[in-house]
Amino acid sequence: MKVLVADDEPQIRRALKVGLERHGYKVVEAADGEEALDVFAEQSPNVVILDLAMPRLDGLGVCRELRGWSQVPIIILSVRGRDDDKIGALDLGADDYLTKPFSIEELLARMRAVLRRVEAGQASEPTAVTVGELTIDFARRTVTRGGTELHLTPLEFDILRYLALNPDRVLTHRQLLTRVWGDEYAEDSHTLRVHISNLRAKIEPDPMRPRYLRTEPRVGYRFLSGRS
Amino acid sequence: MPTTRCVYSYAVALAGVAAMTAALAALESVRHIANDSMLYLLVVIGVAVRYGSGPSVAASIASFLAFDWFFVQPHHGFTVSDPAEWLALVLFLCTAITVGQLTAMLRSRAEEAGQREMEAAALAEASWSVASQLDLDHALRVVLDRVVQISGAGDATLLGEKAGAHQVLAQVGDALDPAEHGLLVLPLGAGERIGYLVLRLPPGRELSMAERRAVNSLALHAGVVLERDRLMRVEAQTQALHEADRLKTALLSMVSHDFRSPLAAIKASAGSLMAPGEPLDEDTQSELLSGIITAVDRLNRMVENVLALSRLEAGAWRPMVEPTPVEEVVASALEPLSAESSARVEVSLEPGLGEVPVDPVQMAQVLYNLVENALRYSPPRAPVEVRAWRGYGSFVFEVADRGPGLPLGSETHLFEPFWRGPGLGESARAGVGLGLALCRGLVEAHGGEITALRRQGGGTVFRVELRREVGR
Repeated sequence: MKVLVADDEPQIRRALKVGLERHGYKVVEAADGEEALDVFAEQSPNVVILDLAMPRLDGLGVCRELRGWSQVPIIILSVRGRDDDKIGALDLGADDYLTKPFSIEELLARMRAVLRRVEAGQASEPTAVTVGELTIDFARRTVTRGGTELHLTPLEFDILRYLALNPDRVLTHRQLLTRVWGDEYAEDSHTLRVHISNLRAKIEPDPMRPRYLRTEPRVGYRFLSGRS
Repeated sequence: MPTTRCVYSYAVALAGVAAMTAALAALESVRHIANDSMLYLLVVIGVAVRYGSGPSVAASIASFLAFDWFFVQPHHGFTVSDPAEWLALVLFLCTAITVGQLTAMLRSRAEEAGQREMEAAALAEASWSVASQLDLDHALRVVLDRVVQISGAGDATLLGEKAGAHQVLAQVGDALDPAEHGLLVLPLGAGERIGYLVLRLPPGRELSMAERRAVNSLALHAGVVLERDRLMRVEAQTQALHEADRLKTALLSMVSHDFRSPLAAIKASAGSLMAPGEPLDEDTQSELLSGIITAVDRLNRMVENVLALSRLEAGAWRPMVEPTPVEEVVASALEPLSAESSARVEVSLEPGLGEVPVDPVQMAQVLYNLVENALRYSPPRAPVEVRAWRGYGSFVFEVADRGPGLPLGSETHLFEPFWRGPGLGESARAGVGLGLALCRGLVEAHGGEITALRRQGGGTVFRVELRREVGR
């Protein structure tokens, strides 16, 4: 498994290289956006870890460029307060993000999740997903918790279905809205918020401490599979 | 007065006399009227009212001559046969001139009063616009419009000093260059050159004394407006500098106290790990390493609070208010807590609370900071309560703990950046740092209020009260 780490800070590249190699990944490095594209073309890594703030070509540019011809999983590294860039990268097709400073465990968990999705993407769509006590049956459009059937509205089911088919992946407000409601609703994050709140009230044992649907502030939502 | 107008007014005076003469002749042919010369006075008064003293004198003399020529025996000659007629004629001339002069004087008085009134009205409007319009451009525009109205100028420009050069601040018609020939240039204010008012009057137009006075006053007025604006900017700058200075001082104190202890922990742990000698056992190693990570997390939180507060104070982080389910705010606030900490939080929300108009991220941050603070100052395993209910026209969030409670008199200081409780000195736990200051900043940005109360039975209650309708 080959990982491209693109970050202009040498100490971060070094630490990630050591950390990732200890877990059996092979690491290739790039110090700026242009170099990242070159190294990607040469080495065709399986995952790209991309810092947003880089000289020459920034992470957003690299993301746009890569998505032009590759579906490689991309994990964005950003700092707090640059929400717009982060959301922009996710809407461009980046798979996930981490806010600096982050721990190597968090990075590994994200990588495992995106790689699982790549694998799962090659198989056909699952007919059902079970997480903890929750079972979502896509074919029969039913949701049960601990054996009891929960009554979801069609919209709530569609939201849950889209999230559950992308386990542990952050889906932006725009992605959820355009997918479930349609393009003309892309900006209506209030509607989404209300539906998520209702959905949580139904599927979460304790809506104050959600274990299935996590809010990523300003960005979107994530379905937690419980695996890491 | 321009010459054409002058000639015209004399011509009208003479024409009036001629018309009156013709009328008298027509009347005379029917029957004789005693003292008919007095009818000429009507012409003299009319001319005086309309054109002032000069033309009225002309009308008087013309009347005198015309009467003598046409109506005094012998006709068609200036000689007078009856000495009594002489007296009457001279008396007539004196009366006509006196009446003309008096009327003309009255007229100019009335005119002057009218102009004063206009001047006063213009100034009153200009001052009103200045007092009520905080916007500089608008105030200057009103002043310039009045100048144009009074002076009849085709083009008018207000120039003001900006960054060492004169720039056009307001203009009507074309922008004028004061160096151009034939323009009326008035300074805005005495002494220091603040700027200029430049007018291009229509050809032949000159300002009367009263108009000149009014335009001058308006120019001075524009100067006052500019000066006030400059002072206000200086004031705002001073205030911002003062505020920045206060924050900087507080930040320095934070760097020296709060930042140093995690830094010291990191350095000591890393140093111990690298120190030569007996290799450390695995437990000790991981203990030191997790100490480093905890210290880094703490530093990171402090940096984030500093950044958030400075962005908030600089006005660069306005709340993006939208109707948000209350559950969502609470859930987002509890999310960053560890499972162990989260389990200590008891949430009770009034049923059917629905949505609250807040910035979901900022309000979650407020609640998180309050909960985190409450957990830190409570005895281990003591619960922290989060409550929310609907007040009269408001939403109330409360975070209540069973900690040591507030020192007397600290209820308001608590929310100042880097405030330290009395007697807490410089111990590592002493400062609440920026957490509560940030809470206050965020709540106030929402138009709400945050207070700290002593809790019955011990502990503290932090209460956030938000208006239910938040204007954007």
